[in-house]
Amino acid sequence: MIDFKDYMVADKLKEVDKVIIIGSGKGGVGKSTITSLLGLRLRDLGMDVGILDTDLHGSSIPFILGGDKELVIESVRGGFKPIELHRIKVMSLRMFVGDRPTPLRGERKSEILKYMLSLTVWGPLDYLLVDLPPGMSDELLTLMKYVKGKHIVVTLPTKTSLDVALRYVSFLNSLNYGTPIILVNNLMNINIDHHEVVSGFLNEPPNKYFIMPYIHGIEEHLYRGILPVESVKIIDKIIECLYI
Amino acid sequence: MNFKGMAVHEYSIAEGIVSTIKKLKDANNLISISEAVIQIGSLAQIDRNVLLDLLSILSEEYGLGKVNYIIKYEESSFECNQCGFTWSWSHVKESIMGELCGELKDCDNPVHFIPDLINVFMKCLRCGSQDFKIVSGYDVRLISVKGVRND
Repeated sequence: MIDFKDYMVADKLKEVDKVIIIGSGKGGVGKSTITSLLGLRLRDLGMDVGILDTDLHGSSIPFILGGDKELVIESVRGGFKPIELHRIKVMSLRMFVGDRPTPLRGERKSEILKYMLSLTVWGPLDYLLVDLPPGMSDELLTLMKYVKGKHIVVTLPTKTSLDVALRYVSFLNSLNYGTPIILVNNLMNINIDHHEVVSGFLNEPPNKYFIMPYIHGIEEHLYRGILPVESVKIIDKIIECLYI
Repeated sequence: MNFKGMAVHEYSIAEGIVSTIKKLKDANNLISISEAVIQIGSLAQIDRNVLLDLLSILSEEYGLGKVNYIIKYEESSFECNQCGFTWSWSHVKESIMGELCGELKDCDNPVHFIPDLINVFMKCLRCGSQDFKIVSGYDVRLISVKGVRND
């Protein structure tokens, strides 16, 4: 048995210059928000950007970027065409299933992701951002088989979230993917003593970490495709750290 | 290539198969490809004749020449992981297609594009669970390729 989808993935990604994979061990830490911020900033810098939303149970990128109204799959030569939201190409399972729940076992998830990778016609892209689901399960393992890129690990400034994030970093390091960037996302606007909480966890070299400040009204900004100014400095540092 | 009357998704699948065969031919240092066996599960809703036509046309385009494509059609069947009930695609096709395509007999739909999404759109006929496995007739698969080696 030959899985021709294996061979198709490389063809579909051959016009993609750089890949950034945004993950974490835990859910609800703001991965999709960070992915969207990164996408909007790269777009503002004149880059062609695509986002692959691999969260099969809770895909949220179209919703975050204001594309929750009418999502239509367009079949084109070679596969499916991503939708365009605020000049960012987006592929998400939400385009196929809408608001339906997706009760899927592991093998199904891997195959669905393989279909998304092998049939999405991205065209030329400067950056493909891959928004991962929580955990280190099928989606992450399948993706790592097919896609190589730089990793950003998102965490909240809490001990439990940092603990999981560091296990995720340890997993990435064991695969020699290079040192990932750790982004501490102050989603909850808590007055963190991050020097105590964060540095206690992240002071071991070679961890590189940044802190994204709380941004009031971020949801509305992203929905309208506008990059909040408060995020620019940190996003620029991350891009610089990843690729320069 | 003229796309009139030819389904675009079938084209994408055919191109995936032919380009894979071409890569296998090059990687294995083969002079020619004589035969390829493809299995289609009914769940994938692939038009067999359209696929065959496209495979022939694309084989010429990819420089493979004439390849004898053998297509094996397999009925998709399912088994519920919760209650053990089994059923086949033909039992439910009409109602599922009605839900996916409305009054049309068939259409481009999520299960046609990604057969694994059937768990989102179908339930066990006995207990109503969406937790079931595909036992047979899964999607489109390249079973085997025969060629002549260059030595």
